[in-house]
Amino acid sequence: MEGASEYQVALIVTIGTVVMLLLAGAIVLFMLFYQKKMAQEQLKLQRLELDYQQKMMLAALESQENERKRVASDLHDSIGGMLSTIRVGLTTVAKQISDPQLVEQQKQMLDDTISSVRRISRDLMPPTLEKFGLVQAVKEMCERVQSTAYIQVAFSEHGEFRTLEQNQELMIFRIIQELINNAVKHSKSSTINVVFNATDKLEVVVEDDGVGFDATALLSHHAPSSRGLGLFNIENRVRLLNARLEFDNERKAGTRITMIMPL
Amino acid sequence: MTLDLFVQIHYVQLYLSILIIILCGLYLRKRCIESKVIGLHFLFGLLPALIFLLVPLKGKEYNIPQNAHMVLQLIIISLLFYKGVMGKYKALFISVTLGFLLFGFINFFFIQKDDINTYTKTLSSVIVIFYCVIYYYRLLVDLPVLHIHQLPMFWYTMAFLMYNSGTLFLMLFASYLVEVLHNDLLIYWTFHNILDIVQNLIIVVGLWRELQNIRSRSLLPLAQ
Repeated sequence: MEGASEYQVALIVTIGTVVMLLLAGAIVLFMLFYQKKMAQEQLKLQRLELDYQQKMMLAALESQENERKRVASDLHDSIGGMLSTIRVGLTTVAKQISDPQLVEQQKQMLDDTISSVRRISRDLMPPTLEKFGLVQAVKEMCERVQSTAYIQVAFSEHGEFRTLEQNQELMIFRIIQELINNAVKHSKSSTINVVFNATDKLEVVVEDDGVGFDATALLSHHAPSSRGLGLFNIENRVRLLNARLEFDNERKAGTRITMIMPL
Repeated sequence: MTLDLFVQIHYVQLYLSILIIILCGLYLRKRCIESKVIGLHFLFGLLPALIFLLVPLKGKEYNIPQNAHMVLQLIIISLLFYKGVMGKYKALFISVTLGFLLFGFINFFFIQKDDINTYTKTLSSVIVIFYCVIYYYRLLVDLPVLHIHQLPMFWYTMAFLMYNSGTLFLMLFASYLVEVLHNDLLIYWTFHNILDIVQNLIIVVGLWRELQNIRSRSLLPLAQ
């Protein structure tokens, strides 16, 4: 009897131990195979989400550009046209009254308004970009900023610039436009340089001799919502172009921002 | 099964424990907190043997430091798994540890007293298995890395799971085995020691894996 109960206990211990070891082994094997599968699924989901976000961003920017195009067209054709007609009418009236100098001030104001409308329309959708390409459009923008903001804006080009897709050129144009606008508004600079370097990649440099800003602090510590819409839009466009932005933090004065895009 | 073989296996256990302590000491500052706790666990594991050498204990009185070490062991393992799950389930870890302490105290003073506290050891095994399952569950939920064999804690958990699963029934019936099986007890205890060696070897793999991670992190700037 004693022998039988000893045998039973020994059997229970052996079977129990074997079962527990098999269970432990099964748990470890399950972990090894299932966790990898789950991690891969999660990565796949993250890529899909990123893809979706990029598509949404692209759609939003496209919609923005279409709206700008429509407004630019309306401004130029509709309002610009009406203002030009009014000017012609005013000139006719000036010829018919005894003292044409009376309407001179109004004519001048009208001329200024027509110029502003044309400028706004051009800024919203530069016709040069579509007709003559990115380089010409940027050159023209630099000349325009120089004449209106009284800042020296120099443009230089190195290497052979290859024509890109229209939407890519438009995005690069907007990035440069925003960077120049920021320099004009905030940097208190007297000179802005815009440089195109085209090799196996496209480097666009916008630098000024103004007060500068701490790009690292702004980008790392501030939430996207507090950075300002301009910088947020620049970052979005850079991401969509698969490009990257580099800020020169070693400069003692002024700002130098480089956009590098693989071709 | 002879006593000589049993003693040899015991020495292998001891040397592996010392190896683990030495490995934990290498690149100590760069090691993760879990590896440091493992080092502490094995360092304190040598304490009963040290006390046995330094203090003239006879027979059952050897069980006193051993039983105290059992309680300390679980506190360290609780800390290890608490760090492993990144500080989650704090209340659970505290309550389980306190509950175990209470049970250990009662068992030591009122139930098994100076005998080997096998009930405490069994409860300790159940708790460690429970911790291992919780850690693996968190790995599935958090998905910290694609290849979990890169995590040293994965190996430590595997080691504890294997050892405690394998010795659970042994500890549960240890009192009966000691009283009844006499000569055959060596076989069971050798099995326990072999499982301990397997545990230590898996922990060595975990420490080696962490060493590889440290080296690949330090080489990264050169590789770039």
